[in-house]
Formats: sequence, C-alpha cells, structure tokens
Amino acid sequence: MQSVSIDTKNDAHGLASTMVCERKVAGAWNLLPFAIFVVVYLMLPRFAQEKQITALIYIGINVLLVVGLNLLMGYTGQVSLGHAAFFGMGAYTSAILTVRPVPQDVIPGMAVGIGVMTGLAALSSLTRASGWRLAAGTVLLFTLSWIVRFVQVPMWAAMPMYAVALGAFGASAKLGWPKCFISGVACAGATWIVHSFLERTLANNGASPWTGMLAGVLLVCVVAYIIGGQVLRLKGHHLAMATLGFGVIVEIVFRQWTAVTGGSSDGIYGIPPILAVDDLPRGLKFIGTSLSVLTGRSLSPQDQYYFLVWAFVLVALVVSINIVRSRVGRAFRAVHGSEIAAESLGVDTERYKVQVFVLSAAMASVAGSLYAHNAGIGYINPSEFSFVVSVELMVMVVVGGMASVWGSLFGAASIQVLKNWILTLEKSEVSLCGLELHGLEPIIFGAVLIVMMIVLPQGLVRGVSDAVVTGWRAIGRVMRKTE
Amino acid sequence: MVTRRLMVVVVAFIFMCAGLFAQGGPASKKGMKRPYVIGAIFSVTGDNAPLGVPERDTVRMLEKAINAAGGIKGHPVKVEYYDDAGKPEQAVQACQELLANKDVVAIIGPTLTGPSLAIAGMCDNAKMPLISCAASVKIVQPVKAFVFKTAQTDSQAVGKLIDYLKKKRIKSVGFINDTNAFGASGREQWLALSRKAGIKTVAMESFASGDTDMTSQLTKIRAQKPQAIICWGTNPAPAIVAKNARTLGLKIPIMMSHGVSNLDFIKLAGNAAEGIVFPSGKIIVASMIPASDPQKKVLMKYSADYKKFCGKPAGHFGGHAWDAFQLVVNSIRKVGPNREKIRDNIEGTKNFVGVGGVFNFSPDDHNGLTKEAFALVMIKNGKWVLAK
Amino acid sequence: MGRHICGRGSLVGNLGQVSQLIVSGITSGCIYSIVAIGFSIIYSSTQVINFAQGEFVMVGAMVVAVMLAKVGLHIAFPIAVLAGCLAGAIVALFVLIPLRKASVVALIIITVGASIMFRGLAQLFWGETAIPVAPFTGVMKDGIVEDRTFRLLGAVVQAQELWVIGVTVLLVLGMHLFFKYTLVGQAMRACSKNPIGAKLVGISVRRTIVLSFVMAAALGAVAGVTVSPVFYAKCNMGTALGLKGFCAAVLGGLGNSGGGVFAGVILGVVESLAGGLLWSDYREAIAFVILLVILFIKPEGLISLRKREV
Repeated sequence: MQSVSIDTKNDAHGLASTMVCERKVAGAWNLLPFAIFVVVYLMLPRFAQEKQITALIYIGINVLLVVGLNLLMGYTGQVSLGHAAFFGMGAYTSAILTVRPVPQDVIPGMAVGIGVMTGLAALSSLTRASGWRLAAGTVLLFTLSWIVRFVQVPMWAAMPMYAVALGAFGASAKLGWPKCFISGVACAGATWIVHSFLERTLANNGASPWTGMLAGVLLVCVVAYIIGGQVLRLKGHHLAMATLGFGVIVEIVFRQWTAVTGGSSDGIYGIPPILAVDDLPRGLKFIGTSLSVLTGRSLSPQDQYYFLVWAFVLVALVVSINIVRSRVGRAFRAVHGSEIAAESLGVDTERYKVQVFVLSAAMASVAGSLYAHNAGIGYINPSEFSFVVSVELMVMVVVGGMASVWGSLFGAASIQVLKNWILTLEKSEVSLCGLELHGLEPIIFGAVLIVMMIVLPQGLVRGVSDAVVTGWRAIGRVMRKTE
Repeated sequence: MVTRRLMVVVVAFIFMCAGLFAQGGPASKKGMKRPYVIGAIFSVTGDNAPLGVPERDTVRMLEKAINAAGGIKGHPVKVEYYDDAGKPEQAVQACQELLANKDVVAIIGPTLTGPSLAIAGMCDNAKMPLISCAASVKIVQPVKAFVFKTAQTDSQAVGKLIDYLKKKRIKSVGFINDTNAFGASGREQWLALSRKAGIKTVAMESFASGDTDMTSQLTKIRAQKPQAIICWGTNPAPAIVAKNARTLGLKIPIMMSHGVSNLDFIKLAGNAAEGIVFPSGKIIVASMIPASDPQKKVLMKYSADYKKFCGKPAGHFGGHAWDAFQLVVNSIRKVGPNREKIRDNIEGTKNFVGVGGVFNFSPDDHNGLTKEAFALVMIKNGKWVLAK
Repeated sequence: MGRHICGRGSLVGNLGQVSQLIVSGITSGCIYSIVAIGFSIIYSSTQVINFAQGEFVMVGAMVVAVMLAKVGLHIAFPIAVLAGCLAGAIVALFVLIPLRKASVVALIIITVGASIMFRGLAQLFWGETAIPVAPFTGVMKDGIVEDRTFRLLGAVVQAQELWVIGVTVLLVLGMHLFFKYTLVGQAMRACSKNPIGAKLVGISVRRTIVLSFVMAAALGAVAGVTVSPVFYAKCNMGTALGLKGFCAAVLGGLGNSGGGVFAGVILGVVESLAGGLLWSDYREAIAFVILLVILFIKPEGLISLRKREV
C-alpha cells in the first residue's frame, strides 16, 4: 500500500502525512519511548514500597486489557461492551485448571461445548456461512455430539462420522463439502482433545499456570472468532450489542454455574501464585540475581510478579505499536476513517476487524490469567468481571486516548489512581451539604466519561500534548515576531 | 510526530509517578501516647449497607466510649475505617493498606462472606488477626490460625429452626432459597441437618436476589402439601415471598432465616410479615429475654447505648461488630498490642458474653458459638416477640 | 420477574402454573416494550443507542416512591414524570454539545456515563435499599395498603399488573397517534428518515433530538411509576430493565417502535416461561441469549419492515 492521496475525509489526509512522517523518522527515535519504558520498569521497584508495587501490578494488568481494547475501539471504531467477559474467561480458566476440582460429570459437557464451538469457528471461517445455514450447521454438530456421547461411540469411529455428516451437509447447503468436512473433523478433534486434557489435568491435581494461561487464550480466541466473525461483517454497532449480551451472559454463567466456578458465594480461592523469578530454570537464574541487584533487595513474591506482569505489558506494547505502524495498522486506521474508501483501496476490512477483535480478546485473557495468579491474593469472584468492569475499561481507553497505544498506559494508571483517591476521600468521611460522601465512585466515573467525550474526545494525553504543542508553537511565533 | 510521542510518554510517566508516590504513608500524631490502631472494613455502601452501616456505627460508638474513658491504659484507640462496598476486590485493597500499616494490630470485618474469604488468606499469611462479621462457615473451616468470626453460622440458625419444627411436630417442609451466597449456604445446611432430624423436604425451589415475583415457585410448593414453608434469603426477596404467599392465600406457617432480622423486612412485607418465625440474634428481642439469660445485661446495655448514639434501635448485625471490637480490645488490654499475642488470647477466650451469643473459642473452633446463640422470634403486629 | 423451578421435580405442572408464568411475563414484557420504544425513538432521531434508558424508569420509580411518603398519587405521578423529563433533557444536553464533531461511539459512551451518574446520584440521595410503593388501587388492611387480586385461568393476577398492561396499551396507542397525526410527530419522523431534507424544510434537528430524549424519558418514567408497586423501587433496578429493553428493541428492529412493542412482550413471556419451566438459574441470561441468536441469524430484527439501516 503506497501513499495514495485520496481526499475522502480528514483521516485519509492524515494517513498520508503519517506515512510520510514515518518514512522520514525511522529507527532510533521510535525506540526512545521503549528505552525510557524499560529503564523505568527496571528501576522503579528500588524506590517503591510494597503498597505501590501492588498498585503497579494492578495497573499493569489493566494496561494489558486497555491496550487490546484500544486497538479495537480506537483503530477499528468498534465498541466492545463485554471485554470484562474475556478477562473473566481467562481468569476462570486459569483458576479452574490450577485449583478448582471440577465434578466428573461436567467434563463431557464442557468438552462437547468447546468442540462444537471449534467446529462452528472452523465452519464460519472456512465457508463464510452465515444466518440460517450456520445455525443449521451448529445444530448438526450438537446433535452429532449428543449421539456420540449417548451411544458411546469410540473416537476412531466418531471422527469419520462427523466428517461424513458435515460433508453431506456442506454439499446439500451448497457450502462446499471439503470445507465442512474439515470443520467436522475439527469439531471431533477438539472435543476429544479437550476431554482427555481435562481428565488428565484433574487426575494430576491441576495444570501448571502456563498451561492454564494458554488454555484460556485458546478458548477465548475461539469464542471471539465466533462472535466477531458473525457480527463484525454487519454494519453499524452490532458488535457493541453482541458484546454487551455476551458480557452479561458470561457474568451470569460465572455466578450461577457454581459447580465449576464456585459461584458468587465462594469464588475460587487458593490460586497458586506464579513465582516468576524463583521458578526460573537453572540457565536463566542470572536474571533473578541481576533483578535483585537492581532493586537492592531479595525479591518478594510481589516484586517477582511485578516484573512478570510488566514484562507481558512490554511485549503487548511492542506488538501493538508494530501493528499500528505496519501495513495492517494503516489499514486499521483506514477502516476507522472510512470503510468504503478503505475497501476501494483493496483493504479487507472485515478480516482485519475480526483479527483485531480476536487479538484484543486474547490480551484480555492473558490479563485475566495474570489476575488470577496474583501473588498474595489468589482469589477471584464473579463480581470482578461484571458489566461495570467493562465500563471501567472503556473509561480507561477514553481517558488515555482512543487511538493511542502509549495512551493506554496513561489511561489505566490514572483511573487506578483515581479509584485509590476516591477510597481515601471516602475514608476521611468528609461531609458535603449534610450528605455523607459515600458511593462517589460511580458519579465521578460517569462524569469523567461524559466530560472526556465532550471536551477531549481524543483523550487526555493527546489533548494535553496537543495543547502543549500548540502553546509551544504560539510562543515560538510570538518570539519570532519580536525579533 | 516524534516529539508528540515522546511527550506522551513523558506526560504519562510524570502523572503515574505523581499519582503513585502521592499515596504516602499514614500520618502520625505527636504528643499523646501511641494510639492502638485497629482496622475496620465494612460494607457501608452497596446492597448490603443495611448490614454494614450498623456495624460501623457500633464500632464508632465503642471507639468514642473507650477513648472517653481514657483509652486502654492511657493509650487512645484509633480505628481506621474502610468501605468495601460489598466487593471482594475493594476489601482486598483495603486489607493491603491495613497490612502495610505497621501500627495496625487487628482487623475487624468485613461484613460479607465474599470479601472475608478474599482477605482471609492474606491476613493469615501476614499474621494479622482478622475477626470477620460474616456468616459463612467457610471462613473458619478449615481453620486458619489468624482468622476468627463473630457472626453466627447458618448451621446454627438451621439447628435452632429445626428445634422449633420438632416442637411444633412439623415433619414435612417446602424450602425456597435465594441463589446468592447466603441462601445457597443455608440450603446446604438445611439439607444436611434436616435429614438427620428426620424432617422431609417435599419441595425445593429457588429464586434470584433480584426476582420480583415468586408466585410460581410457591404454587409448586403448595402442590406438594408441606406442613410449613421455609424461606432462606436476604432482603428484599423474602418480603416478596411473604407477600406472594399471602396473595396466594397460603395458610401454612412460614419460617425464614436471620437474613430478615431487620426492620426493613417488616417495612417491605407489610401485613404479610405477620406470624413469620425466624431465628435471630437475641438483640432484637432484648427486653423479652428472661433475666436468667447470661446475655441479658450485655444486650440491654448495647441496646440502650446504640439507641442513644444513633437514634435507631440496635440490630442483629451491629452486634457482630460489637463482639469483634470487644474481643480485640479485651485482648489488647490483657496482652498488649502484639498481633500474635492477640491471636493467642482470642483463641483461648472462653465464656465471653457478647451480643451475638456466649463465645467459647478453641484451636478447632474459631467461631465459638452454638445454636443457643439464636432466639426464635415471631413477628406480631409489626413487632418482634419471642416465639413460643 | 422470575419463576424458578429446581432441576429436580416435574417439568410442566398444571395449567395454573403456566398461566401464572404468562401473566407475569406479560407484565415484565410490557415494561420491556416501553423501554424498547424509548430506545427506538432516540435511535431514530440520533442514531445513538441510549444506555441511560433503564435509568429513566428508575428515576420515575424512585421519585414516586419517595414522594408518596408525603403527597398523594395524583401529585406524585406527575412529579415523577417531570423528574424523568428532566433527566432526559440532561442527557439530551450532554449529547447535543459535541454532536457535530463527535462520532457515534463517543455519543454512546456519553449515554453510558450518564447512566452511571444517575445510578450513583440515586444511590447517594435515596440509599441502596428497596422502597415499597403502594399499589394504585389498593385497599387498606390493618393499616397497610394491599393490592386487590383476581383469578384468571388458574393464575392470580394483581390489580397493579393490570394497571401496567393498561398503561402500556395507552402509551403505545398514544405514540402511534402522535407520530401519525400530529405535526410534531410527523416532523420527528421526517427527521429520522431524512435529516438533511428535514432541515431544508425548516425542522430544527436540535429541537427534535431534545424532544425525542424527553419523550423517551417520560415514557420510561411512566413505566417506572406504574411498575414500582410490583417490583419495589431500587436504585439499581434500571440496569437490568434497560439492558433487556434494549434486547427487545434490537429484536424488533432498532428504530422500529411497533416491532419493539411486540418483541418486548414476547421477550417477557418467553423469558418467564423458559425461566420458570426450564432453566431456573440462568433465567437472567435468556433475554441476552435470544439477542445473540437474533444478531447472528437475522440482525435486522425479527420484525423488520422495509427500512434497514445501511
């Protein structure tokens, strides 16, 4: 994609100038923010107390969430109102696989569910089916799985059964039988893999945290693909509606499926922390010792977790910045600007939108796993993944700036600081007009959202830096005039 | 472009640091004797504020009283209040702040089970005594060395109710519960204990906390012809159950849990509350408790003091905070402001006459109560009387 | 409104139980319908999905609950509706200020912020506990007002539920007549179909937007007042109602008021029946599952007329 100048809207012009700018200023300058980041990351613990390290861990997890959401909202202009659901799915998958005993009779059902979802994802991605045909395919997959379970068909017979049935369906629904064939195989394969995996981990007293994290990411990717694939090809704000519904459903499942998730009464507790530095293999122990030297003390579990979480954040930032600057990223910004223009340039907007959605969901899942394994707490509860949390994430995106990767850092940090400040305010029990200041948090949040969107829709960071740059330039002009 | 990006990072960095490091540490008072600091986490906002606010007010009242009397051996008592709004993660934050404060010798609260479970592990690891005011038995079982609770357990409430059922010779019951933590736990306890007592549960129904109409569930229960209906939940749903039962014209006795042991229930249910029997802490019928009951003096004093302090009648939940605070203060008085010693002292406490009951702690029992901590109360003419 | 059945026990009991479920389903469905109409009105004129819609219902219910302690219903009702209109005007103001330069996403976020603020303010002023409201045509019994009941096909129907249904029918008819026959209503319709053309003809888009918000808020407030004796007024009652009403609006086709009404009632009944007879624990999720299924299969909504959004 070369720099074509199309005068559709402001964004296209900005696009062209951005591309030119980026050509000019390459290499070292772009690394500078990262360099600063790494230095601060390594040196901060030396000067921070334990309470601040904990706050930093939370901020880091939120940054992971916000970066993904920002990519979605800022660059593709789609709103996800259920992001906390992916967060929660990652957290619960990690928690369940590492500690929670799942009753044996639930496992086949879970395996079937995941298998059918995989088949559905494969079907929709390979054949581009939608609407009634997709629904029919799903029903077929369900019926097949049900039959296989009840009649106890062994796997070696079940797989061809799936394949043949799906192939026939494909031929009759004019979807192409080879592709449906593959989706059938995918469904059967996924069911079997998940089933044996679950049985094995539960027999072994739980999986390792990394396995849990990976499982969470895979699960979330499949689900996000299904939702995004269907809904993102529609115009308008269907993603907002779908994610809203999805978020509510997932929260209710967390609350009510007590056998698996512990429900809202108990939650899941006793989740083992990840002692990132203590657990390093022999060859990498030098990392541990050098970190100890940097911080000037032996690393507590909190410190180790801080380093782990922010390492993930660094990776996420690098990935995001690369996406934003790349060909794909420019396509994203094109999509946000004008879908029609972008399509006329040959950009496959639908595919990119789905990819961004899945990526942001995957990041949220990783953040969830990290949240679950939080050193020193190890407890999760459905209320931590509610619609309110999704809205808080949106506030963070908005405050940081809707299309700014570095802004996500700022947005997450400032909202966390704001929340702590509100807590201290409530503690001081100040009285205003005879009303005790309880429950200020929602009012302030709502006000922040509204004010931000009215006054500074490009976010606090851009807004402030814009203002500063404009002021700087004005001063420069004035000074030049006086010479 | 680059300047802007650079500035973004710089601005972000400055703000972050400013925000973080501005949190600071606790202020220290000079001059007087070093205060003894107790942490208190209550659900002062949120759905369960009717539980948390009396708890906080009780502690405030006691704090004021003890400081007016000169503190503990001259040391003033300072309570750091936190609101967890019923959310576990906020309780965790509050707990972390308290744990970081070296002066805090014990933590009272939280009000609810979820937050209590969330911080129980933390406090135990940090060797900070935690005296929770929440109901679930899971807080103290399996026993964690530093975690105690003063609220009665639902198994005791169920036990007391079963005594009443046996007295009235009721053999078959329809059970309906809220699907929240409180109701689910109550149901578990009911199933276990009723089976042992030989009472049959002929119908089991449930509702969600936000449900607004339970006529259908009640119709199904009625169809099974039980001799009584038991409803286990927290406001406002049980009030709706009571109203629906009245609308349906159900004549069989209705019994509830200590979740309705507050004036809100009577206000919400109106006439439908008439005749409902439930187990409750004795405080709400303090004046009717016979003088032979060892708790009578404590109950009457708390009732009078609280009414004077807040203008509202003392309730079941404030009592948990009273008991927790007194346990901590008594321990400090005996062994000084040392977390380990306070823990040991509480664990060894026997025959502590509190508002919630008479406590007997032991290494196996960090709750210290039996079903005698409950009284059976009936609502008559919109007021509470002892059930006969 | 919910009916639960434990997993064990028989499925379909007697006719009385089913009809009871249907009755309560219609009642809640009526509320969903009114909320859906509110969504559609606002969406038609501004393309904005107003997430504060549920809060308008809450405002109506809370104000009437608080006022009824002091004055009679005939004063409290209009005051509650006025409070709702005020809330609607406030949200309209928030939306209008950046209207020209903000994207639709930004406007949606503004309404989300407004809904959070209203909820927080309600909690601050009126507390978190549920407030009982006396039914419109209740009778005094032992000092407390109780509702009359009727028996219908084995179901027990409260008089207040009949009020809800009646008020809904009145509102729907009123809306229909308003949009069809009055000048203002026709102007609003013109604005939604063709904003530029409407401006050419001299219709003020700003005024239309304010009017649509105020109307949607008034409708919501009336619904809140009528349903509060059945549901209890609580500061967080708006969330669930708003979300489910939104599902109804989407089901009926966003922007299609008539479709929204039908979809709302159907949604209420289906939710009640499915929740009562089949999946007790997940009853709250049923509306959203239906929403997702419809979005996947037929995004224009079940009852889509010729108009589709481009």
